Amino acid sequence: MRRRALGWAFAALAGAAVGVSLLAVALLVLITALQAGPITAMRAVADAGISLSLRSLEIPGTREALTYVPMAQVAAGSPAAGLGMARGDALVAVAGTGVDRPSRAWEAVGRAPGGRSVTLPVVWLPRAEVTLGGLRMESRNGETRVVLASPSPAAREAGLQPGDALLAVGGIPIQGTRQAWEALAVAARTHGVPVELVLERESERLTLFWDPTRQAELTFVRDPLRAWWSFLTTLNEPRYPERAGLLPAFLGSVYVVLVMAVVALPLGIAGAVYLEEYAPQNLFTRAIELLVANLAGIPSAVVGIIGLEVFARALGAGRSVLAGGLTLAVLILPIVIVASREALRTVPRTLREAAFALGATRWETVRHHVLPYAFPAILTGTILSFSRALGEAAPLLFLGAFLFVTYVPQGLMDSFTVVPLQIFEWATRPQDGFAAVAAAAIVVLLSLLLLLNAGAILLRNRLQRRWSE
Amino acid sequence: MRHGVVCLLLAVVAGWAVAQPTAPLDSPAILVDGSSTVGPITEAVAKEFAALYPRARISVGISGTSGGFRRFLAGETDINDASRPIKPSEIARAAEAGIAYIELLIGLDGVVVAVSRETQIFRGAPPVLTLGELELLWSRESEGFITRWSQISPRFADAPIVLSGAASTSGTFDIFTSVVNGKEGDCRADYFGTEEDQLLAEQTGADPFALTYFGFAYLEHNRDRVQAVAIDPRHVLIDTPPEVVEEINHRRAQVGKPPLVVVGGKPQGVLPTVDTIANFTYPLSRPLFIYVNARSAERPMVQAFVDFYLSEEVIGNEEFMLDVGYLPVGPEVREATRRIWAQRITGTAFGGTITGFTPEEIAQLYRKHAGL
Amino acid sequence: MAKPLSLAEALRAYTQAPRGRRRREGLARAVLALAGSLSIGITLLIVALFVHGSLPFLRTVPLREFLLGTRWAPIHEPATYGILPLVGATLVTAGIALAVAVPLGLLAAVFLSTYAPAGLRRVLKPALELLAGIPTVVYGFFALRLVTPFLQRFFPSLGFWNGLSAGLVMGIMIIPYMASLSEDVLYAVPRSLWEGAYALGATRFEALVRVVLPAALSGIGAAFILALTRAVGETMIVALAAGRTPTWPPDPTQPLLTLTAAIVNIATGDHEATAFIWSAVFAIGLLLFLTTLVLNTVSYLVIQRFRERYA
Repeated sequence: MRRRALGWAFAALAGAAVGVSLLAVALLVLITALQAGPITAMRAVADAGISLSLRSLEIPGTREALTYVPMAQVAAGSPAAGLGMARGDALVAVAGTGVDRPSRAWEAVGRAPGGRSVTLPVVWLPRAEVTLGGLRMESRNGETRVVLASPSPAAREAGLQPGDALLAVGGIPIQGTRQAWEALAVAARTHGVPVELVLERESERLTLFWDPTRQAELTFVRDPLRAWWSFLTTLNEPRYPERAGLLPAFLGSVYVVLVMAVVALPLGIAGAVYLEEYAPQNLFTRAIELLVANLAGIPSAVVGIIGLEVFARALGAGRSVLAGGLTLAVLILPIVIVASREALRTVPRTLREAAFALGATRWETVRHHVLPYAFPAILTGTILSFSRALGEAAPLLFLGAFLFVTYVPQGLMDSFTVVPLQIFEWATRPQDGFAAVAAAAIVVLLSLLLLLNAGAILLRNRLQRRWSE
Repeated sequence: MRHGVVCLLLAVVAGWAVAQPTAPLDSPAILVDGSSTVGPITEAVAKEFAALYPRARISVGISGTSGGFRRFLAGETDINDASRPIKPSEIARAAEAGIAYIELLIGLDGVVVAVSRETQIFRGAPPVLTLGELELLWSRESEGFITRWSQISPRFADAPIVLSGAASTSGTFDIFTSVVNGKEGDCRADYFGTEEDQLLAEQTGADPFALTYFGFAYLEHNRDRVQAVAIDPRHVLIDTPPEVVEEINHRRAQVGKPPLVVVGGKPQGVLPTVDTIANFTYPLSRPLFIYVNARSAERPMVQAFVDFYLSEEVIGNEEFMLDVGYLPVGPEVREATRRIWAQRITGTAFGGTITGFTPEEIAQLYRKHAGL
Repeated sequence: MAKPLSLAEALRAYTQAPRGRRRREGLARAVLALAGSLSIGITLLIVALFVHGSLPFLRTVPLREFLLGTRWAPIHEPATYGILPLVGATLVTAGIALAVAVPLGLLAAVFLSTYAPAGLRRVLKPALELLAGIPTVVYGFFALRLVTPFLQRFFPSLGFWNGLSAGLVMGIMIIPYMASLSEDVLYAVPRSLWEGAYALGATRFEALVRVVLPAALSGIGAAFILALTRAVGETMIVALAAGRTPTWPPDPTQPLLTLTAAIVNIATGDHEATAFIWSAVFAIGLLLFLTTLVLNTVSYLVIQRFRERYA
C-alpha cells in the first residue's frame, strides 16, 4: 500500500512541476500584459491633441525634485488647441490631480469614472511669453536679478510692472530667466494657486498673489480598440510614447520571416528528404547529421555576425530585408531539417514499399507518396520554426537592422526593423510611458505567436484526420 | 507560372536601390547609424523631417559609435551619429577607403555625477566634489586602494565606496576618463560599468553610499531617485588625509603623472543645468556629432535633411533638444557648424582625440576648423 | 529545323519519359544531395570566417592571458583580455538555468510520458512547447522588470542587475528543451522493459525509477547537454538582465558579463572602431562555437548509442 502511495505522491509532484512552470510563465505574461494597460489613456490624451514631456528644476539645498510637464506638441485643430492650449504650455493638473510626470496625467485620465468619453477639468500654465512676457538679467546693487522687462498683458493685469525684479516664486528663489516661468509651473502644482510672488520694485519688497493658470474642460475618448489599432497601424514616434506605433516593425517582421521561409523551407525539406530517403548510412551522412544538430544549437550572436559578414558585406545585400531573411534562414535551417526528418520517419515503410513494388523510382515515391503523407507534420514543425524566428532579436541586431524608420518597408532591399528589436529599444528608454509601450508590443508579439502555434496545431489535426480516412 | 514568379523575384531584388553613398542622386533613402546617445536626436529630426518631406525614407540605427563608424567607413551609411570625435585608426581607415567626411557638432550632453537623493556620503552637506577628488576616486592608481569615502575627505562618511558608471565601450566613459583622469580609458576596473544609464540611476538611487555618472537626460527623468553632485572644476584636493595623498602621489609618480595638490578651503561646485552646461562653467560635458559622407552630401534628399538638422528649429531649439534629453550648443558653435556644412569642409577639427581639452577649448578648436 | 526552345521547355524535354524518368531521378538526387550537404558548407564557412577574423587578435594576445586572465578590460588603458570572468559568468548563469530546468524538465517529461492521461497530455505538451516560443527579449524583460524586484524583497542585498534572475528565467525557457527530448527518450524505452518490471511485481513508480530511468539515463544526459548548449548560447536575457559588467570571481547576486553579452558590448559600443577590437569579437565567437560544437557532438554520440541499444 505504501509503495502505491509513494507512486501517487511522485505523480502529484511531477504534475505539480509542470503546473508550476506553466503557471509561473502565465503569471509573468499576465503582469506584462497589465503593464500595457496605460496605452488606452495615453492614446486618449494624444488624440485630444497633447504630447507630454518632462523637465525639472534643481534647487540647491532642497531635497525636493521639482518637475513640471510641458506640452511638447499640441496638434493643430485638436480639442486641446481649440481650448487655447499651445506648444510650450505646462500641464499643471488633470481632474484635480497635480501632474508631476506624464504618467500622472495618463493615470488621471484612465482612472476617471465614466464611460468611453470623459470630460475632465484641465489646469495649465500658458508659456513664458504669454504668462510673464520678456525677462532679462540685470545687475542691481552688485547682485544679478531677473527683471521683468516687458510684462505680458496677463502679467500686467496681475499687477506686475516693467522693471520689477522677481526674487521668489512660490518659495522658490529665482536665479535665471528660464527658471522664473519654470518656478511658476512647479509652484502652481505643488503649492496650489494663487502663487505667492516676491518682487523688488524700486528697492522695495512686495508680495503679490497671482493665479496665472487657465482652466477648461477637455474631452478624452478612452477607446481600447482604437488605441490598440492605432498602435498597430501607425508609424513610430521616437520621443512621445503616446504616439508610438508598431507598423514598420510589424511589417518588417512579417517580410523578413517570409523571406526566411522562402529560403529555408525548400532547402530544409530537401535536405531532410536527402538525409532520410537517399543517403546511405555511412560516416559521411553521420557527419552531416552531427553538423545539423550542432548548427541547431548555435548561439544567436554568432549567427548575427555571420549575417553581417557574409550576407550584408560579402554578398552585398546590405542591411536589407533580404539579408535579414537569409540570416534567420541560417538560424532555423537546422530546425526545419530536424523537424522534417522526424516527420518523414513517421511514414510507414509499407507505403514506400508498395510504391517501389509498382515500379516507381525513389523520387516519384517521395514526391507522390511520402511527402504528402508527412506533409502535416512537416508543416507543424516549420510553423514552429517561424515562431522562433519572429522572436529573435540578437541576430538581426548584429546584422544591422535599424531601430527607427520613417516609412514602411516595401521591397526586398529595403532596410527594416523588427518587433523584438523595437521591444528592446523601448524597454531601455527612461521616459515615462515607454515601458507600457514595450509591454504592448510584447502582447502583440505573443498574441501573434499564439495564433501561429494554434493555427499549426489545428492544421495538423485537420490534415491528419483527412489522411487517416 | 513558376517561371513568372522567379522573374518577379529577380525584378524586385534588382529594382530597389540600397541607400549608400553610391546610391542614385534622386534616391529618397537616407541611412544613419551610430551612437545610441545621438541616435534619439537624429530620430526626432527624421520624424519631423518626414512630416515635411513625405517621400523621404530615413532609417536610423543605434549600433554604437564604434559599430557605426565601422559601417560608415565601409561606405554603408550616409551619416554616422557619434558621441565622440573620430579617432586615429578611423581617420586612417577613411583615408584608405577614400571616404571624405564632414564633421558637424550638433549638440551637447552633460555628464552628471550623481548620488542617491537619500545619500549619506556627504553627511548631510550638499553634495560637491572637486575634479581632483573625482580623479582620486576614479583613476587607475586608486584601484584596490581607495575603498572608503573617508579616505577622500573627512567631510565624507566612513563607509565603503560603491561605484558604478559607463561601460568602457561607452562614449560617456571616454569623456569622463579624459576630463577627470587626464587620459581616455584610464580608469579603475573595480566598478560596475554598464551601457544602461537608466539602470545606473535606479541602482544608485537605492544605495546611500553609491556614486555614479551618466548623461544629463537620465538626471531629468530620475530626479525623484538621484541628485546631481556639484563639481568644482579645479584639479585639486581639499582636505584629503595626508597618508592617502602621499600614497596616491607615490603611485602617480611611478607612472609619470603629476602629483595631486591639497589646497584646503571650500569647494565651489557648479551644478549641471541647461545654462551651466551650455556656457561651459560645468566642466563635464561632451560634444555630440554627426559625420556626413561627402559623397552622400551630393544627394538632394541628404542635403535637405542636413539643412533641416542644422536649422534653428532643431539644433538651435532648446525645447527640441531637451525633449530628447540633450542641450543645444551655443550660437558661436552653431555658426561654425553651419559654415562647415555650407562650405562642405571635410576632415576633423580634433586630430583624433579630445583628451585633456576643456569643453571650451573643444569649442575653440572646432571654430578654428570652420575658419572662424 | 527545330525552333529554339525556352529554358523551361528544354528542361521539360530533358526529363520526359522513358529515359527522362531516370534523368529526373538523377537530377532530383543531385539537388537533394546539395541541399543535404548545405550544413557542411555552412559549418565550414563559420569556422573559416571566425578563424580568419580572430587571427589579428590571437596573434597579438598571448593565449595564456586570453584563456586564464581574470581581468576583462578591452578598452581600458592599458587593456587586458582575460576571458575567465566571461567564462565564469556563462557557467554560473547556465548552471543556475540548468538547476531549474533539469528537475522541472525531467519531472515534466516523466509526468507527460508515464502518468498523464491522453487528453491532458494533448493540452500540456503544446503548452510546454509554448515556453520555448516566447521570445528571449521578452524573457529578458521579465527578468529585469519583474523577477529582480520580486527577489529583492527576500534578498535585499541582491544587485539590481544580477546573474540570478537571468539564470532563473533562462531555466524556465529551457524546460521544454529538457522535457521534450527526455520524453522522446523515455518513450523509446521498449515496452518489454516496463512489462518485465511489472511481471516482477513493481509499481509504476518503482518500474520508472529502478528500470526505465536508468535505461534512459544516457539519453537524458544528452538532453542535459543540449539544454546546456542552449544556455551557453543565450544572448538577450543576459544582455538585458545581468548588467554587462565583467566581475571576478563570478557572484550571481551581482552583475555578470557572459561571453555572448561581451560580443553585444563590443558590437554595439562607442569605443574606437579598430580592426583589432572587432577581431576580439571573432575570437570570442570562435570560442563559443567550438564549445557548442564539442558539447553537441558528445550529446549526439550519446544519443546514437542509446538508440542503437534500444531501437
